Amino acid sequence: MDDNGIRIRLGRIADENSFDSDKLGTAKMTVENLDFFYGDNQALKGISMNVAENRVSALIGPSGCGKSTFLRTLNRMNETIPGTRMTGTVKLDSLDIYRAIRDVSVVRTRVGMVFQKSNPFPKSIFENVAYGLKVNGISDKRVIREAVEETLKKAYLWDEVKDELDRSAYMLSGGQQQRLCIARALAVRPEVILMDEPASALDPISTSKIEDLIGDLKKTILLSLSPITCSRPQEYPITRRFSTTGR
Amino acid sequence: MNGATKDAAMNSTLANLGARRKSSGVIPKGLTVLAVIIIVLMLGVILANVILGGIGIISWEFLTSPPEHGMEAGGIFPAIFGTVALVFLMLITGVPVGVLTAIYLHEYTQPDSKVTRLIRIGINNLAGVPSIVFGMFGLGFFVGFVGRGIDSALFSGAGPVWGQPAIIWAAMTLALLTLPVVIISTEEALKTIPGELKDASYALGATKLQTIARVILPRAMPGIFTGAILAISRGAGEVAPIMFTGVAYYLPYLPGKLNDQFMELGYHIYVMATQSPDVEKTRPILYGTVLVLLVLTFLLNFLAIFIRSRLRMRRLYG
Amino acid sequence: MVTYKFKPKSKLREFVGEKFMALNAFTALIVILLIFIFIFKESLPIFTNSDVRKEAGISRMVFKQQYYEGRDPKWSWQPNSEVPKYSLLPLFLGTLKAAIVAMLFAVPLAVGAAIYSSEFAPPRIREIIKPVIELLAGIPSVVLGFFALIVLATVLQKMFGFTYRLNAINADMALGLAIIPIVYTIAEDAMTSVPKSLREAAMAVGANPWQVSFTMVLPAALPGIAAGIVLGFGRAVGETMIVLLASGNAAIISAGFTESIRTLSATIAAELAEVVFGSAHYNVLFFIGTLLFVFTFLVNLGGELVLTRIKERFQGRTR
Repeated sequence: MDDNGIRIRLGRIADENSFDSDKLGTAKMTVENLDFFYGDNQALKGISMNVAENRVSALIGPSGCGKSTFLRTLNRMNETIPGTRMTGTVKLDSLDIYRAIRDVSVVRTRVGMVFQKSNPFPKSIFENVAYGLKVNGISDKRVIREAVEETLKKAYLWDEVKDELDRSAYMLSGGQQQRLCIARALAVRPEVILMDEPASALDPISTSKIEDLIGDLKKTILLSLSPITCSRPQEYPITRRFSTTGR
Repeated sequence: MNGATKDAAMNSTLANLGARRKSSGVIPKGLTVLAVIIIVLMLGVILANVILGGIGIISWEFLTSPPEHGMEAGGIFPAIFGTVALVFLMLITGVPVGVLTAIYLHEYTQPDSKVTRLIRIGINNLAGVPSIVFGMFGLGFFVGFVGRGIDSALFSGAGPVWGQPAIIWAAMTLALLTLPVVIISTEEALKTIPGELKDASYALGATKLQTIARVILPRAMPGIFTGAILAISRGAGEVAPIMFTGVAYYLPYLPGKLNDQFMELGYHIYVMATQSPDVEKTRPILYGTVLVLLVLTFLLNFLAIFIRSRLRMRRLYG
Repeated sequence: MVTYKFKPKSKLREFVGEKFMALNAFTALIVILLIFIFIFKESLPIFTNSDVRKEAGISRMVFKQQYYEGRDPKWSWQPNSEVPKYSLLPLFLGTLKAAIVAMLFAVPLAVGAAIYSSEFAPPRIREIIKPVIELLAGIPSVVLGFFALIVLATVLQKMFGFTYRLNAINADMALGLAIIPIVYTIAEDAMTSVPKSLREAAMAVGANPWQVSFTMVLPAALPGIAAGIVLGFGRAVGETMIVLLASGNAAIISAGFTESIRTLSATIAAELAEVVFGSAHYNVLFFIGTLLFVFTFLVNLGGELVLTRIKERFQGRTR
């Protein structure tokens, strides 16, 4: 398998600039020797890897092998679960996100996350996207409105909802909800976006919309995928053969 | 049941089966049916009696005018007003404490930690304290300690202002009594909130407090309402806690300040039933008051049940 | 593209918020403590003040006293007579009579209904029984007392020819009605949580449904049912309004149940309003309150302990 991680295919592809497998560009995030425990149960063992900057990278592995757990260590989301423990280092731009950043919410504004099953808030479409801005201190209504429009456009959802921003987010279809969640995450302008099997619960048409979206985002993105979504394995040069690592 | 007891029970069942002719079991089963029927009948008799006895006197005047001639005529408006005011104050003082307690238990502590267990012991025991003991506590603590303390701090002991029976003390006593109900209802609601919603909030950089205020609380509102309604129906019916903390049988005024006394439906029933000089004359009014209290209580209970089942529907069907 | 800058979050606000909520959470616990302190404190003079002790000390409350020259010593509760009498025995007896008879009345009905509801009732009937019980639970005790006073007493007197219209049986039946929901709920819960495997095991050896219920499920649920009974008993002891209205309120000592009784809780309710603040009578009333509190506290603790142990057992955690 070609280690040129960028050309992935959830379907079609992201990056136009291909380059040598040696030069994957700078590492936006690095992980060294990560062990992770749920109580006494070790879920991740000795993982080390880099996440290339401004590239879309993917972790592929069967369900249950720890992909979600691993992603969650990259933005300290596992800290919301009691009884978890980790050793090792995770760095964002050479800053240890566990030890050098005191406020965990700062980590999460820099490393955003989109979940496997879309989870919009029981609020309006507008309020969903605006949520991230409001909790981070933005109160200027004009700014918020512009930001909401901007991110909905980036998520390829604006045209479909621009006249119905006050409707409940639950009125949207599955694919639309997931794009809403992506827009919501984008609004916070994270430097890295983690996506946990973002299209696994969606139909092929929605999936391809999201693929295009991801490709056009031009950000550092780390996806996790399960092999079932990859229809032709040999075309996925993936960054890390994550598969069964961690056990 | 562990293995050994299971075997023993099965053996004895086998022995019994073999030893006796298989009786059809009609009698024991019939007894249980009888039990249910008796209970339903008694409930029916009580309700029928109250409705029949009281329905005659219910009228708009009855509900909106004050009593006259020592409760032999007139209406029960002040008692209704007093009950409503009492319950309102009870909610203001009790629901926030209960909700915050439930949130703290659910969001900040582990289910089996020492802190949680300690708090739960407190809550469960609070639920079991006899209402008369609450009344004594209200008298000794709120009226005698807090009230008198306020008096000596603000008025250097000049004539009791707060150190006497008052609607606010009765309301706070009731708030303590209904605290467990509010806490448990809120906790039930909190349990229905899916973790994914909280995850989404945290992943956007929200803090715990922000998540609680913006996502969790709004979602838990129906459950909190249920708890408040159950608290109302419980609080409107309790007499013992307010007997010494502020209620009166007849007042020429409606409670307007927090340290006024007040009339109340349940207490009204009690005094009228036991101390009326002319039982026959007051009987219709007595029945009417009971009917009003009962209808109020039942309506509130039904409302709470209705909201609770809507909540359950939502949990199942998103 | 619009620009914005995020504001840092206040760690102080998070900290204060959490601690404030914790404080609220401890309110329940603190209140229990306060209740005990404040009620006990008002009864302390019985032990500490020699004047009060002479009139109403512990020995005066427990043992027979000779109040008048030439008459036999007796137990009597008459705090307002010229020679104040503070024996607690009549009150204890009254409370016991009230609670026990109420339980005798309530437990068979409640447990029977619970058995029917969990073992034999078709689902639709079960859905009706539950609201009926909740309705019963929702009736304020003052209304039950009212009913017993006005209606039940007359009916019972006509049926059985009691000498006193308001007596123990009258009050106890109404009290039983108040307890039924508590015992029913816990008993029904205990029976429905008996694991299916147990029932299936019994049916597999050929037991028919009623045998399964009475010989397997009932014994298995017994600890839970017992806990329900204990908690119901605690409620019966503490209940005030029903007894106040329907029992006749006479603090006498007698063996029968057809006479009036006076319970501990009703005594407090009836006499606290007119008692002189700080008098021996006042202290004794608060002492009674302390006794009630401690008793129900212990009963509740015990009942809860049993119930949690049972829950743990059925969830597979053995000790």
